Amino acid sequence: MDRVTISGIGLVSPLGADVAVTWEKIKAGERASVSLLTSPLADHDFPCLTVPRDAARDYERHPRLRRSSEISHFAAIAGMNALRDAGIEPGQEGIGIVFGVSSGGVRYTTRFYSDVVTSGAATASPLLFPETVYNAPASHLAALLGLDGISYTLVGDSVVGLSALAMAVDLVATGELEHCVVVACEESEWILCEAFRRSRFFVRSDVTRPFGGPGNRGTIFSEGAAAVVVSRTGSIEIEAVHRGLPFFKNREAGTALQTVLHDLGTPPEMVFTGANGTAFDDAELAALDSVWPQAERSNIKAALGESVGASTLQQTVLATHLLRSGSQQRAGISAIGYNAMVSGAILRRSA
Amino acid sequence: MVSDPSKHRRVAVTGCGVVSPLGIGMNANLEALREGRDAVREVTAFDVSQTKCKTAGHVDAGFISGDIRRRRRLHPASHLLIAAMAEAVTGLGTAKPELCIIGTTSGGMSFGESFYRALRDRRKSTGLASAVVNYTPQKPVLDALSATQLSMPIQIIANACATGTNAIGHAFSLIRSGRCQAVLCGGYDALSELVFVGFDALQASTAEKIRPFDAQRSGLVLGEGAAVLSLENWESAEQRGAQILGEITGYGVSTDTYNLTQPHPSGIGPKLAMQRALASARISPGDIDYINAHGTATQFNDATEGIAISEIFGKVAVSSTKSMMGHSLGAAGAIEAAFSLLALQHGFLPPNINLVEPDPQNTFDLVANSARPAPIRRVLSNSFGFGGTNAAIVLQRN
Repeated sequence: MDRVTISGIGLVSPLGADVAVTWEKIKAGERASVSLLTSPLADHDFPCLTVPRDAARDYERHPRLRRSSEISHFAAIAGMNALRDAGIEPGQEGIGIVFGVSSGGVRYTTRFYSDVVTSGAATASPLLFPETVYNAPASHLAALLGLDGISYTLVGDSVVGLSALAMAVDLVATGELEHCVVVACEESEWILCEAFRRSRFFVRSDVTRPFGGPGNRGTIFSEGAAAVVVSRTGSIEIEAVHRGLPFFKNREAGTALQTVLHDLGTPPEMVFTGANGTAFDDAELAALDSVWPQAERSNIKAALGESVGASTLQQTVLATHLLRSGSQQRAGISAIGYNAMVSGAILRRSA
Repeated sequence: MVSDPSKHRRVAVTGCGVVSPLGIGMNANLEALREGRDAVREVTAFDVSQTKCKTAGHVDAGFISGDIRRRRRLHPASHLLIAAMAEAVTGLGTAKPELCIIGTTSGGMSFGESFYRALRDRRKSTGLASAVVNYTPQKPVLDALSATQLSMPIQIIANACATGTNAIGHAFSLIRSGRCQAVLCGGYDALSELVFVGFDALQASTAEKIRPFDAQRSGLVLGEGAAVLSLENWESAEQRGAQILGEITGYGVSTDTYNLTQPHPSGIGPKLAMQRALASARISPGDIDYINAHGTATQFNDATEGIAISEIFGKVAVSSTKSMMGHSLGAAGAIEAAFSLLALQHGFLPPNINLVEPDPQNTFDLVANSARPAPIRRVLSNSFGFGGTNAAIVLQRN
């Protein structure tokens, strides 16, 4: 692959909006505190890890963002911090953006439709609807950057961050872009928790236990954003990133991930796993045991929860941070999505 | 940085499938385009008593075929995409697509609506887990790949109404640069109450006929459908003896950050996308014979697109095929690429129906109300969307 690098990183999570501080907290075994999301339509609340309000205020008065949902704020903060980290000025020529989201602006979507169902279509809000489109967060970041070129939003399950990274690598490697800001983001909402509960992914507990073995299976949902700047110069190279593979039956997930890990090449020294306490952990474990058995395993979801659309790029950001610190030479990322996609990547510190 | 043109590969279209309110399959759509058929009718799928607009372009549900029992829980969007994909891959032969790039704006939204209503009405939980699984935007793509026994990485682009053209354009870029040899690409969207009401709330939709580029235009009507194109490296396609339906030669994209839902009045967004598509194809405006316009019939879109086309192209032939079937959002760019291929292959200009009084600001040659025979060689197809996403592709006759 042509030399493509990560030149900047940014992160918003339930543990804050500072990459280094977040990593130190995770290493110290700290976990984000649990909030309860109240459902107006169910008889129960949902435990969830939410971003502290103080960590998402940077753009709350910005004209473009003052009416937008939290997901756009998370994305703007992570994206702008990544650009700053890369030393790139907004407005510079040759910058594009690729977003990855899973449920997008689900809070406004739920509010909008709730109003339609409860009060009738005549009361539907023209202010809410535009914020429900998947590419609204990307549009807001494009406005902050003064961008007039490429802006793509990808939608998918929890591997969508890696899909976005793979697309960015294509855009930079082909010379279409000089720098690509990749952002993956998600906001929490009770209806997502209810949907995942119905799909048996959700655990009504304060704790997620990745690779925790049988019993008490399920994940605790969270929110946030991650961003990386993909360039041609920078200290962390993207050695390989997979475009991802689908699986059509859940029992095929492990085999699909094995294929992905094989395709990525020589095993890394350590891997940031995507395990989140659900039944897919077994498939990921089997694939890692088979293809990357020697790689030391690290997991951020016990601390940060399952942020779905943001999750694999959060893994990528923290892997980049770790490599920058010099303690490892190569780090992998692996993930199985809840809806039939697997993916992976390998990053390495430049010699 | 600009990619080196000397290393560019030619990009062939070797397959195309389309499902639209105008018909199922390329032949049915060709017939309807030549007739200038109006496929917009009353909405019956959900309550429209409180919306100003009450019509849309529906795909006839009677087309669903195959193993109905096995597929009965799938979202209507899956059925649209399965049919389009099945038609597109008939000419694949030995080609092995490495990637599937599909655009959508709302995935299986109507299942999300059903989920919400079931919770609100405290209905029994039967089927709710299935609704969740089939709601996601990637599920129709997985269903279509499964139905056609294909497996490959997928990328779902959700760039509002430009997304179908973005999917094709990005696939084109990957093949032209040599990073891929073959890619399936396209778009889909099915009608949903939330989106229908949303456009109505924005006062973007109309209670009347959809009249793109008419001085008295009053807004859009929505539609639905799916289209898939099989793109291949030209040399590989020729070597395997594939039937080449046409060539994609250029792609341009721009972002207009003026407003989340309204384009800059100067038309700079559409203008940049079209100019970049021409530059990408290394041609001049005079080389374009026909433009399949975005042409939603909203005041804002048609004003800015009209200015941009008039300024760049002057007297070129233009029509909006949305006048016949409504705006199918994430499917629109892909369906209109399929229509552009049909126009190139069969030598005609699809009509812009329901036209009463052309908007006098425009200098171009609007293909008013009836299709026209024309030996066209190159077509530009435009798609613009919320968030300021603008995209244009250039298609060329083989």
